[in-house]
Amino acid sequence: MPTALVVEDDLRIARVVGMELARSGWTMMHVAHGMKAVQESEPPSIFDAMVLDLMLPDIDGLVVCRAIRERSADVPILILSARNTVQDRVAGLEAGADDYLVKPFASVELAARLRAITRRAHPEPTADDWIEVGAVRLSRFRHEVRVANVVVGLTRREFSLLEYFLSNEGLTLTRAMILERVWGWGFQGTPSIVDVYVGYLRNKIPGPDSGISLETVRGVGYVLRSDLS
Amino acid sequence: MKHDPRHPSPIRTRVTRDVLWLVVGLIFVLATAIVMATLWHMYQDARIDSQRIVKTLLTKPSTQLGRLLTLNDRVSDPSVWVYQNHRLIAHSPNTASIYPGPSYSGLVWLPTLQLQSSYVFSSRQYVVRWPLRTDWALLQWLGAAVACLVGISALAALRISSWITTRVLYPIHDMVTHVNNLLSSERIQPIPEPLGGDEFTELAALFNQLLVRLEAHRQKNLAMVGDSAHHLRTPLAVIRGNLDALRHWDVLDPSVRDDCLEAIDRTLSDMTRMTDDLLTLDEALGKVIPPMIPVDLRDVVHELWEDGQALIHAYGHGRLTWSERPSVASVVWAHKDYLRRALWIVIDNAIKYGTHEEEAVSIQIASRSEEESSIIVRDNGPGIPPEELPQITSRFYRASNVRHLSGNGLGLSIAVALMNTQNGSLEVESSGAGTSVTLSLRAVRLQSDP
Repeated sequence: MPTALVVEDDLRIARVVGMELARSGWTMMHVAHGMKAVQESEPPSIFDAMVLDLMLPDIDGLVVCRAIRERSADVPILILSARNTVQDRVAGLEAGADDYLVKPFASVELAARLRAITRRAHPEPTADDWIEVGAVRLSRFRHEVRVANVVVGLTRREFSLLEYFLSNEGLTLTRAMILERVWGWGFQGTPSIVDVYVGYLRNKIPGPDSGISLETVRGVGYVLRSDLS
Repeated sequence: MKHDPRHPSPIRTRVTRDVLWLVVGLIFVLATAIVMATLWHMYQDARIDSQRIVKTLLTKPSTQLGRLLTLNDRVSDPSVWVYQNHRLIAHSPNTASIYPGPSYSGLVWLPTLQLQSSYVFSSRQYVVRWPLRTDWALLQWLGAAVACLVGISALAALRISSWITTRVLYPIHDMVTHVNNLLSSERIQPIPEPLGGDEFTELAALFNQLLVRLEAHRQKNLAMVGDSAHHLRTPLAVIRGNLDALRHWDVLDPSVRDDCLEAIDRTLSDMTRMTDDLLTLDEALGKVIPPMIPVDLRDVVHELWEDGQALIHAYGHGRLTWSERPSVASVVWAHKDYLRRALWIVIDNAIKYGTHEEEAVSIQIASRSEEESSIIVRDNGPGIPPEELPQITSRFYRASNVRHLSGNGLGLSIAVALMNTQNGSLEVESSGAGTSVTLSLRAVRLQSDP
């Protein structure tokens, strides 16, 4: 069972995080202080991911994050913060975090993001940069998508969206994750365009030919599955 | 001069002092000049008169000198001595008791003020003492007159300057009184503007403008806090109600239960969205200018164009047209995320509120001047009622004809704040035949700096 270190001084938040982690099959270790978190993450650490609050009673979460990265510990870190400006987000990612989630958050969102940052098995691009899932092949360099070796014309956004799905095959991606990654800042208000674009992709890459399907996970988001697996 | 801010020297004192110095100084200089001129004139007179006497004595034999000198019964009564070979050979009758130094020329003070001149002609020396008694008296009178004049004018200057400053400064006095009242009552209201249309009226008017603006700002902030709390109350009530239903209803139909959960979920999303928006607004209203780079408006429109089409798909109504004119200068200084977000808000609004069926939203890039370039988003919707147009960019404000549609009324205020923080602007024009929103930014010119 994977273990997550939750660094959070608010016990109510820690409890909610713990509940969701337990539901998704994680064991939780909880500490309330940044210094403790840095100590715990000294290799060899026993946990597989870290959920880090930024406003801690002793040291700033960003400092914790940097300290851990300086010790070359490559544990996946998910920052959980109430601060939500562009700068905060950038600062968090620059400090070495893998993802940034803003309070209040939906528990499914937390689970989906943790799963995404802890999964190692991203499909490795082949030597000439093709990502391949089912009968779909995508090249970043050539900006080209082939289904059963036939080129499919995609717009820029469709391409980015498909690339994100292909790189996270089998993982549920929430609308917020997709918006953040594919659209960037400023589109939080219109999550419905994700649905529209998924519709476009389904039309352009029909399931039977491609060996992949974009499934809706109700109330959460979408998952790309390969029919072969 | 160093000023102690705790004890300001009033303008009145300062002006009075300065005027006093000026007047006294001026009169003193004038008087000195007059006295000097008078002295010079007297000196010249005395010299010329002395020479004339000496001339009458020249070439006369020494025997006649005594008689001639006795004849000198002028009013001025000069004393004359004539020497030959350093021996006194004649003198005027009034000189019996006084014996002058022979060769001295200049003023003699005793017994009275006299001008002594000495002339030498062919072995004779003439010494003349010209009395200056009357001139001296005149000078004394003159001095007294000048002193009186200085005194009187100083007094006059004091009175006049104090009168003028009082007259000039009474509006300030009024203003100070009013501002003091404002401070003590802690109620902000305009101060009465002094009549007369002078600089003080202007100052008071400016001061009032400032007051009004600050007060409006304060009221807006107060309203903002109130509005935010109010806008959080409604969703809180929805959550409370649904939660109570879930907890207290003995028998709950599974579909009702799902509805309740769904309602709570949706409401929480709205609240999250609203707090996010408020924080974004707060960030954009901050004084920090974001780092800006040259951005081509065409690229931004291109990018959002596709998303706009998707949005039309999502809403199920509207159409998007873009009239692209390649000649327009379209590279501006911008923070790309901020610009994209502002434009996206505007496009979203235009599609959401401005279209019902197949009406088009048009996007256009224009350049009103060399200094700026704009993106204009125009819809053909119902427009914004003219009386509501000024408030349309205020926080939480939603035009009365679209309140039935979802939204929290923060979008446009965020867009305005985001544009302003990039040194740009957002303007809204509206008529019954649609609304047009212009987002302008400073154009990048060759060899120009941000």
